[in-house]
Amino acid sequence: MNIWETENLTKHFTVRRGLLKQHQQVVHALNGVSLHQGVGETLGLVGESGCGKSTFGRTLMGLYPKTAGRVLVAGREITGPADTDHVLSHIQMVFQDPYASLNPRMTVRQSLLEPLTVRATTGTSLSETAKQAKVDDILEQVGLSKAQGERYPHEFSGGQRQRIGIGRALISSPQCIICDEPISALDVSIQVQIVSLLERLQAEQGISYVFISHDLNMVRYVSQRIAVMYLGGVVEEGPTQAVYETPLHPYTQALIKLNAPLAPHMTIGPVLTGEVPSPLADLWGCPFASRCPEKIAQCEEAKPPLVVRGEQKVACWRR
Amino acid sequence: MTAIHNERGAVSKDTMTLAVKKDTTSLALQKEATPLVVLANLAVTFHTFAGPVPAVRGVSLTVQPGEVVGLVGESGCGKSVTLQSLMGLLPTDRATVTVDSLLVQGEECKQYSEAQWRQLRGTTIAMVFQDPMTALNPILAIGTQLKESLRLGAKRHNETIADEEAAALELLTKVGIADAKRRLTQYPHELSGGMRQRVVIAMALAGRPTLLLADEPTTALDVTTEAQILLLLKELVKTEHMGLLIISHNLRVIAQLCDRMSVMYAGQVVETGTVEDLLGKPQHPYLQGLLGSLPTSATTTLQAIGGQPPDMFSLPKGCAFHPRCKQAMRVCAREMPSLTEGVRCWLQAEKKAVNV
Repeated sequence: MNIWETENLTKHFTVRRGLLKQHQQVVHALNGVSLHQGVGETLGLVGESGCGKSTFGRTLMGLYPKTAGRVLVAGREITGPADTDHVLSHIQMVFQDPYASLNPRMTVRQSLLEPLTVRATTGTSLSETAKQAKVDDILEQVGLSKAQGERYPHEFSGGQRQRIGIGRALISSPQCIICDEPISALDVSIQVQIVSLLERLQAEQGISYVFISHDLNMVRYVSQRIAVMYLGGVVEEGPTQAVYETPLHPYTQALIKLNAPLAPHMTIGPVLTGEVPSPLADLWGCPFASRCPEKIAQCEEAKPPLVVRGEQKVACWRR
Repeated sequence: MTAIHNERGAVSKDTMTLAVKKDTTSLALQKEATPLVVLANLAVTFHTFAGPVPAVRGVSLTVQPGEVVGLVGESGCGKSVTLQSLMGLLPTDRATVTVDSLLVQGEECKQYSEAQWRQLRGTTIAMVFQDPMTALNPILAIGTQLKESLRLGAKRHNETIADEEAAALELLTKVGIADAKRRLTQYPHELSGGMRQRVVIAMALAGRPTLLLADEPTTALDVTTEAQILLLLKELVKTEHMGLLIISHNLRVIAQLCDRMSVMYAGQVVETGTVEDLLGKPQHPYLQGLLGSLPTSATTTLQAIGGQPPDMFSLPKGCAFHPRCKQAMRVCAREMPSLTEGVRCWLQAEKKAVNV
């Protein structure tokens, strides 16, 4: 049973350019992404900035209306805003910037309480004392004291604010939390604290995570399965260990080498030459062709489909 | 320093070397031995409405020609402030800066006026900032900005440039920008992030500096672009024979680029030495914790450093790291350890005592 699955999920943004904003262009942010997630599993989503990993998380949540494709959450197809409550009771989100994602004029307790008062599925039926008790419970789970609940976001450090963000996602008792770069704004020593918190919650409550990050080593550490994205599409997917040990796609191979674990002697590279194509362009061939060291003529003529190779799936004509 | 050792080795091995050649080599060695910058015991306190903030508390560092030195630490540890002080960029009305000595190419600069600093900036010391978009003027073409830097550099060197266009083209080619002629007429927003950072580096090189300072030069870039910029910096240090002082919170960047590194915590250097020693056998519990926080393979368990980074308004007594240190002793809360043999930690003193 999958918590959610997407079929050919596509998201195009239209931008108007030019002096009179009459020239319309399409940003191909997501080009047919099919992914799914099992219960208690962590799915790592990696790629460089602009590859569509955040757009995927947001479109899945319904924060952006999808252009095409299907989204199923807990077996039910999501068609429009009417399904929002259904989505939010199953999937919640933790954002990258803990400074921007909390209301500065609400105390932590008020922020945590809000999902319980506004969404029928999460607990409007609870009595006031039951709601307060639930907030206390969440505060404890994310490692904050009851007294800290009365404070405002500006009184907390980045790591603590991220704990509040996790607490707010947790209070709706979701089955899955989409963590969009949850640790990139934090110092290294604090990153581990947040990752440990996420791990503990998963062990205790069986929550699934979509872990969106550009830090491949951290993704390797937290996820059971990873999907590598490039220019709006998945180029490789598979169990984490398999992908890291035998990366198939040339892009995955380069990314893993570039993110080699820290060692006293390290060489720079490999250096990929060539430019990343603009997401405005309507690409015929493989999106990675312009930088690929193994390019053949076919790569520029047609886009390779995601095909099964053992435990992994890869989108490359040469595999 | 390594370059000098190699040269020495080559000279001694070569039995055919003439006395004359030896003389020139030793002269060159003498000339090279003058460090590009020597900073001794820098302390910076900012005066804010909430009270004084001791951002830097006694930092010393040296950069030799042809050497790459890294400064590592978490946000707010004082690494950027240290870098800015090397260019005289700190606001003297809001900050108290005390320093025992600040030698730039052997010349004492701690009493320098703004006008004197301006003579050094860009020509002797140049800086590359983190975000190339804010370092470039968005309404001027790349070529205009490059030529301005070139003119300023030439003026300070008391030279004139015959062909600015050619000089600008040469600079862009040097930093690995293809199709340089077209790029000169483009504006910053038309370039990719990596390309912009190359332009910023080209502008820094315009005054032919001997020391390049880089404040998180690749933090705003993706890993694939980061590799390109790091490779460029490494090559430039070699070909231009500059010194490079680079700040990063990313230890991988430091490991790839640097010869020596210093780790900062709460405005102090807590460990300093060669990259090999520090990453191979870290001595300070903070650096050990930092390295333990980085996942190396899927099987490791991560060791978090507990607690929060220190509040710079009210630093703990004794060693600033002691509230988070798993090996803290009573003395750590009482007295601040000194930087001995490259490590600022009481455990180090204890080890030495046991060995004696």
